Amino acid sequence: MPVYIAGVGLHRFGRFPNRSLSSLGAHALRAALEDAGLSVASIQALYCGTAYGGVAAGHKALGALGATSIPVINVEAGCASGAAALLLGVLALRAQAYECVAVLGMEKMPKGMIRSTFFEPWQEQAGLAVTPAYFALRAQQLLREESLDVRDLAEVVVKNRGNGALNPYAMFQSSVTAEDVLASPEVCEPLRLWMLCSPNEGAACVILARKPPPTRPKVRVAATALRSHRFGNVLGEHTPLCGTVGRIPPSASELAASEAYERAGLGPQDLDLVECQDTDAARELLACRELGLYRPGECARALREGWFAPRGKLPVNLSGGLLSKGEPLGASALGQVVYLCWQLQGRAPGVSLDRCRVALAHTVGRGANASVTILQAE
Amino acid sequence: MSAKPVREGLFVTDPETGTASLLGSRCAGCSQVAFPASEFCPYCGSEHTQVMLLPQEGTIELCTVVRKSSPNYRGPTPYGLAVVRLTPDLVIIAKVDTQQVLAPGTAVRCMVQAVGEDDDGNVLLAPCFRPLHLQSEMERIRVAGS
Repeated sequence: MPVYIAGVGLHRFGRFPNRSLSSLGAHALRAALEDAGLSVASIQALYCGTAYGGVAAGHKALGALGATSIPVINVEAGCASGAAALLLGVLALRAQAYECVAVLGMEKMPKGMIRSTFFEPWQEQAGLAVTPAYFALRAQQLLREESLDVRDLAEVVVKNRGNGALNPYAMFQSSVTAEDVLASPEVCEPLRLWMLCSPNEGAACVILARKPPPTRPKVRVAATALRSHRFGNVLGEHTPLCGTVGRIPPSASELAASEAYERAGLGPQDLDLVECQDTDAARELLACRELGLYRPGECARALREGWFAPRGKLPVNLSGGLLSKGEPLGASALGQVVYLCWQLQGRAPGVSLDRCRVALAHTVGRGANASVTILQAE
Repeated sequence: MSAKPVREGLFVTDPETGTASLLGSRCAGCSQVAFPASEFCPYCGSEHTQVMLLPQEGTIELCTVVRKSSPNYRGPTPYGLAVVRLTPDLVIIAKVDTQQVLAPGTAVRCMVQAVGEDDDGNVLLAPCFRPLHLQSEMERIRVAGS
């Protein structure tokens, strides 16, 4: 039972002090409906991903388009909230419960270091609730395992900010040099400030349907997978305080990737474009390994040969990634899907690929929650 | 005013040496050790776990430095946050008394550190590992001073 993308819409990611969360969401929803050539009356259910949106956030956004009495389901799954909403929408269509549903992701993130109810108060008091420090430890592990150094991390930022400079929807639309990145304030060794993405605000919406849209190139959801963690990795995104040595279980991202590849009947070799979780520069390189884009130990070679560059063999974060767009938790996964859909339909802003038939979106974060979605042009 | 741990059951202290032992739990079913001690095993879900003392000494696996205070943290900065190996099979996340990144393999010992006060004026105590070379240096100074 194929599920098609009927339309997509985006509210730019950034900081919008004069706009409410509902108005950001309503903007993306209206844009997606217009893109699909549908009225709100065509939507039979709304799935809304948000982590900080509060009670009935999706209901409020839909209310701005006129309440239609359809089921509205609000979903929280950390950085994968939008992807969790997408999974529910896809499953509902595959079960033939509906013909057409809307999937919305939206967020207004608090400013500064993300304070999460995920940590217990005593962990905050003990100095253990420092999210960038966990990113930094994971980065150090990756540098060691892949024989990389801090300059390699700076080059990831240079690549993504260069891509973002061409994306009118990015928060930061200026390119940077490796020297700039390395000279930015040190947050937690080896991570410098510019190697971390900014929490921000935005919304993205995808209209899913069992029939393809009549006027656009057909893009279907070949697979979408959402996984949580198994216990054992001390540096897993479930942010435990202990772990084992040696027998580390597969990560949530690895589990989601293998499930998505299997469901789609595709593998890394079939991909033309990838958007992945670059919360920090090292996270992108780790994500690429978890997604099977290079083999363990092969990262330095992949970087040296520019595999993931805009004109490389498999561009990664051509949109500019979270490092350019910022990260509104509930919206970021669907922001990736919107961008990939534009690329698959040959109408992406900024860099457009000559050939793009299969594209993959990946998010991972607190929970742990990891999602992998594979889109395919027909 | 008195002193109290940031969390009951997190560690026990030896008043004579000032050292501390973290409390973990071993699963009766799968034998995995978890920290902090837990009524259930995070690996297999068993409710049959037993509290145990974890070794006071370990070695640094990975280390970074936190320079700014985070919400609700009132202890000293900068400080280290590290992956510390306590046994051949167990690694934990721990705060470390350092202003610089410590090299992998550095030996550390668990101590207790004051990290501010709670709303009732009680001094809050949290575990903090100290590099052994730093500790022996301090002991030497103390001996020399006396």
